[in-house]
Amino acid sequence: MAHGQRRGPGRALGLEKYERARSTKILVSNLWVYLQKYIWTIIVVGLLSILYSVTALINPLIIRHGLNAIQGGEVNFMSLLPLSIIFFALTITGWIISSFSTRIMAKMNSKMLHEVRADVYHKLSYSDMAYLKREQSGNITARVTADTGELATGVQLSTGIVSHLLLIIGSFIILLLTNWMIALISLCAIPIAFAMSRVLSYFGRKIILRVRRAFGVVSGKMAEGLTGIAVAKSFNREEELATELRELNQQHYKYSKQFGMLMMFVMPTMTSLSYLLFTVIIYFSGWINQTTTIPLGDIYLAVNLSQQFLFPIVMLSMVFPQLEAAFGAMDRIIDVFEAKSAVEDSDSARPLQEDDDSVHFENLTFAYEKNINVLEDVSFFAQPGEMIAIVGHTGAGKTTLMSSLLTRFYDVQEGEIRIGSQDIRDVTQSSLRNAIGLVTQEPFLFTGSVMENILYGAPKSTEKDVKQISKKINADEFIDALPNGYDTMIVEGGKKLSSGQRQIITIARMMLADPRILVLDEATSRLDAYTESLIQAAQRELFRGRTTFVIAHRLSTIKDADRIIVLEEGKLVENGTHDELMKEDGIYADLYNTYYVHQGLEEIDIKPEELEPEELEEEHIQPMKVPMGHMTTGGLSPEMLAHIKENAKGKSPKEIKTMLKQIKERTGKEAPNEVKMILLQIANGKETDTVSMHTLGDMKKKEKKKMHGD
Amino acid sequence: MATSTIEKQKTQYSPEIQLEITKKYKSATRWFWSAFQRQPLMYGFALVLLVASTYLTTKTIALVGDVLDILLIDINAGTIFSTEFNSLIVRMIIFVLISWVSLSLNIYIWADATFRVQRDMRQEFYEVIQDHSMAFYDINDSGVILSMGMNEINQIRMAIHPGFRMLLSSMFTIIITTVLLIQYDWIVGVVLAVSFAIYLIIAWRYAAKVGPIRQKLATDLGDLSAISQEMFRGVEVVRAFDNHEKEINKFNAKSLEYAEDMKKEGFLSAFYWPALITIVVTAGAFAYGLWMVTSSTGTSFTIGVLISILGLLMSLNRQNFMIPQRLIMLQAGLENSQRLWSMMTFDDPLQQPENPIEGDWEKDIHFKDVNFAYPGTEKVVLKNISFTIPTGSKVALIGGPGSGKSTILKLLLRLYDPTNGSIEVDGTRLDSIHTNYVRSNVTMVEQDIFLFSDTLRANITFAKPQASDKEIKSAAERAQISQFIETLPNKYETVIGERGVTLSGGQRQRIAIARALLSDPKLLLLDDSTSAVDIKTELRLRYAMEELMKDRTSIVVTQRLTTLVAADIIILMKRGEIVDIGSHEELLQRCVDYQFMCQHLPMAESMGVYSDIDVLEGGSK
Repeated sequence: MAHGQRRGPGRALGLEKYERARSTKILVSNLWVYLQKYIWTIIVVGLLSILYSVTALINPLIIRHGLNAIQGGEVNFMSLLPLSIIFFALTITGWIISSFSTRIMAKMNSKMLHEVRADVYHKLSYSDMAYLKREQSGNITARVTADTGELATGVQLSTGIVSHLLLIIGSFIILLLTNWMIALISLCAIPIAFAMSRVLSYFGRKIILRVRRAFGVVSGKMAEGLTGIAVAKSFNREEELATELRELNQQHYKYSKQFGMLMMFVMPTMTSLSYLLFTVIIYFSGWINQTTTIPLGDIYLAVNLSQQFLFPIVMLSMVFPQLEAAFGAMDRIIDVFEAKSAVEDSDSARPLQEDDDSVHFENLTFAYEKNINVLEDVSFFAQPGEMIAIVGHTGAGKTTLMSSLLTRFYDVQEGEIRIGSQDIRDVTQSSLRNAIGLVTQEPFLFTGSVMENILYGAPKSTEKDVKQISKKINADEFIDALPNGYDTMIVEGGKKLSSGQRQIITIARMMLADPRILVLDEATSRLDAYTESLIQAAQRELFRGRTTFVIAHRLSTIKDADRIIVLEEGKLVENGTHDELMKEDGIYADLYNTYYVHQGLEEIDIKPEELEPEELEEEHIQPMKVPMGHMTTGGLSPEMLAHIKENAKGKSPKEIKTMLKQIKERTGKEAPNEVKMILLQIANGKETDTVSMHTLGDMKKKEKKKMHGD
Repeated sequence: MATSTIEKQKTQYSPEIQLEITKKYKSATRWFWSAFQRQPLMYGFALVLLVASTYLTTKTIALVGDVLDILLIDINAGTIFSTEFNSLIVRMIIFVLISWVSLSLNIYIWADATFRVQRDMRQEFYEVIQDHSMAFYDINDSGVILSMGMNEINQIRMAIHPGFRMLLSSMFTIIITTVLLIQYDWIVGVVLAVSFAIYLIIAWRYAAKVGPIRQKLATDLGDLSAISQEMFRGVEVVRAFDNHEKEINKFNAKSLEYAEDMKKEGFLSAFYWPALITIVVTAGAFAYGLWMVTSSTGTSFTIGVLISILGLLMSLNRQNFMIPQRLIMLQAGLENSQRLWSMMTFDDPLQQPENPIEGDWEKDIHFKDVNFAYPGTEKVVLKNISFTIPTGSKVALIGGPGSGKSTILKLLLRLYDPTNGSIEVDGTRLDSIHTNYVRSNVTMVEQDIFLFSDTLRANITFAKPQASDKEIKSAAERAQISQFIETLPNKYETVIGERGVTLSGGQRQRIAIARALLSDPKLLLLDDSTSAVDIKTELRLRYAMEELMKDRTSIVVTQRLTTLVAADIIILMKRGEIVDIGSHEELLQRCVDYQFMCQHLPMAESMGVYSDIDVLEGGSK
């Protein structure tokens, strides 16, 4: 099934104006690392393309020779026969040469592409977690697939450049030697051909961007229609959705038509131009004949060569944008290579000892970005077998503390985490992560069967083990009900399962891995109360005596805990048992009363009017997900957005309004709401990092550029 | 809801679109070629222009020899710019200019027609696919369908423009060249005709070999992206289970496969054998021409004829670069339309009744021995389900995951039909009622709410686009969401979803309730397996739900004790079967499963459930 990324017609026109952060020299020297292995292949291909150009240049000379000989008269067929044999031999040789060099290139190129891809992927797999979290998975994947592909295309095309250049120069020299006046006439065609390609790329870029955007919108609409199909059916809304799509489809057609209008000029014009050129040459040779005679063979040669050198010029003007794109791709690939790596094992790292499962957090301070501490001076410890509940408001640092630091996805800036007597920075990551079982907030399943998913953390377990665990947590009932039971394939992250069912599978996966220390980050938040209580019972039974950290959302869980840690804005504010903390009447007591206690409350005694109004939480502004095609924030490109945002920093709301007006003037339409919202947030000095994710990379690049400029 | 609106809906939307399309086009190949049937005038005109421009350009090349012959005579005669020479040059220039115009027009009209076809085929595809029942969506990945609707339709378009247009242009060039050559010398013409027939056959076979590998490459790349995307999305899980190497190996294996296919494709396309035929023909013509020019017999060529023949053959040689690519495009287009067609002609297990009855939704609803397996699967997920929902009653469905609760809701919406047995409304079988009518009487509020990335207004009025502002506001108020909406800068015009504001789970649920309120169903299906939220959200949600359930028959999947206690009927399910049916008190009295379940619900103590049960095992802390 062909659902890979497709290259739009825009590629050849050099649509994406991309500002590189590195010089061509640096890029080539980086590329050389890969190319040097194939130095012989490159030399051979280079030689072959020279040879090819030579055959292409000699051939018309032979015909000229034949024609001139005939025109001179007094020749017999036998004296000319060798000419036709040479002609035949040369054409065949040319064919063989170009076929062979294509073949050799294909071999080299495919190998090289794989090497680059494997390296990029490897590097990304071991990249700093913050980097991976910041970029969208789609963007990262583009590094791995699209950019590497673009690079390979560039390498392949660059070999063509040599033979094109040789053909242009060679043809011109021969033309010059044959008749310098005709050669000069032919030169006139060059600016026209050049102007054509400029015009094409100027208008083409605009139109194709529009076509693409329209394509993206149609695609987005269709995607939504397909994912929301059940809702559409439930409300009998198919007709309306179809109508909406029809309108967008019509829009796409309109822009495509404009593109067609543009393309209609290019090919016919180039062909007609070359025909006009030779007509002019013939006419001109009539004029030359006044003074000196040019043999017919020479005229034929001029006609032939003039065509031979016009087309390579067009080809070259098409190739250069693609080369530029390849350099851009290389630039982004180097970005990946230079990105920060994930934490690495120290040289003296040893496996985690198994004798002591106590966990000590001592004076932890941690920031994802400099000076914005997510955790500050947090200290506490868990005795072996203790169950600790971590509570606190959204954004208090609970997930960072447990899911990111204990697992050592990041290293702390200050303080230390010890398991037993070992600092986790002194143990191998492999042994550390085998010891810790993590269930993340968002249930993530892999493409594969349910069985494979549960086995993910414990590949050596048997199917029997899987079934046993599933039975314990009451998962077997719904798994059995799936079309193929345990062999049912999980597709699209598990779209046919409810989020609760997905969560149950992740819990089974963790349980089967049989870790010594458990980290449950709202692991049962999507389950219904009944299922959750069954799972908790199973958990109690299976993991009795293991050190457990629970980021809790439900009363029952908290009540089970031996101790409760309360985090508030990155600081540990309370630490004790439920009763102790209730007595303190602090943050925990407050949380308990608003979040937890009502979970059993069955009598409603507050009227709706008495409820405080809700507010839109900052984190509820999502990073843009780019589905297919290239959708940008409200039609603004990421670059533009980054630019706007940079300018917006430190501005007052009034100044922001003026900016918005300017945007309106420049783009001819009202700035989209999401942009307004972003700007207002920046003005208030609380830009949410989620929105800027998309553009962060671009902004960084600009900064880098500035530094280079200095 | 008034019957007239239902009638209107029916006439507006023709759900038989699948039938209509399949009847009209019959096969994938016909669907593909229907392009010319859709825009006959445009294509027809474009075709005429194409023939004209091809003739003129080919003729111009042929004229080169003529004009050179005249030039030779002029030189020998010592004259320059004889009238014949000049008029030929002018003719050539006129030919070039006319062919320029007609070719440009041809491309434009052809492109326009094809973009229209693309638009219509895409729309057709979407409408047919959209009309398939949920059985289709259960077995087909929506990403794949999307890619078909977007990318593969694109490929079909490319097969016609530029693919087929260029191919036609090549064919005309060949034919016209042959005709012109026959005028010079019939031997050359016939040889050319024969060898090009052979050429085309070989070229078609060549394209058939390369095409599939190209398709495979596209699939490979898609898989590669999928593997990589999944790994980066789940990077925490991968790291937590220390499974890097496994993931890298998986990726490398696929990447290597891609590289292998790429190499294979390169090897195959490197040696384009059919080119040899044109090479041999050209070289042969050169030799033959030389012989004819030098021979002293009567039919000898002038030097100009030799030049014309060579020029024509050379320009024919250029087609070698075009034909294979165009053939591959055409084949890809045909193949894609085959795949799309098979999606469009999906054999839907859910069929609309031929003479739809409306049924009286104010009457009782009966399940009679309903058995159900999802279409295409063997697994029976509902076994012998029989019960009655008296009109106006509140029914609670309870059971563990996989017990079949949500399947019952889906059957009531007629997203599927029962495999055996029947669901009846006032004695009318559900499968004899048109789905449109069923769904305008039944509304479901799901657990995982799907909202469209559109404005809040559009989402709330999803079921009733013509709703007035007042209705919308009142629905939002009753759903306890209006207060929140008013705090947003753009109020009801706020865009939600992928590019806008994201709502919390509770807010989404209340939007869905507002949506359901506007649709004002006779039967309400509610999946209320809510997870824990804070007290305010919880309260708001509960008010909203009570408002929604007021004065209508409702079936609620729930774990909430109050709802259970208040329900008229509780249906307890386990593994696709009904364990027991009755009121809360009855079940608490007699049903062990129910007792066990209640005991595991939060705050069972405060509801006094425990005191009623003496068969407790374990118990909570």
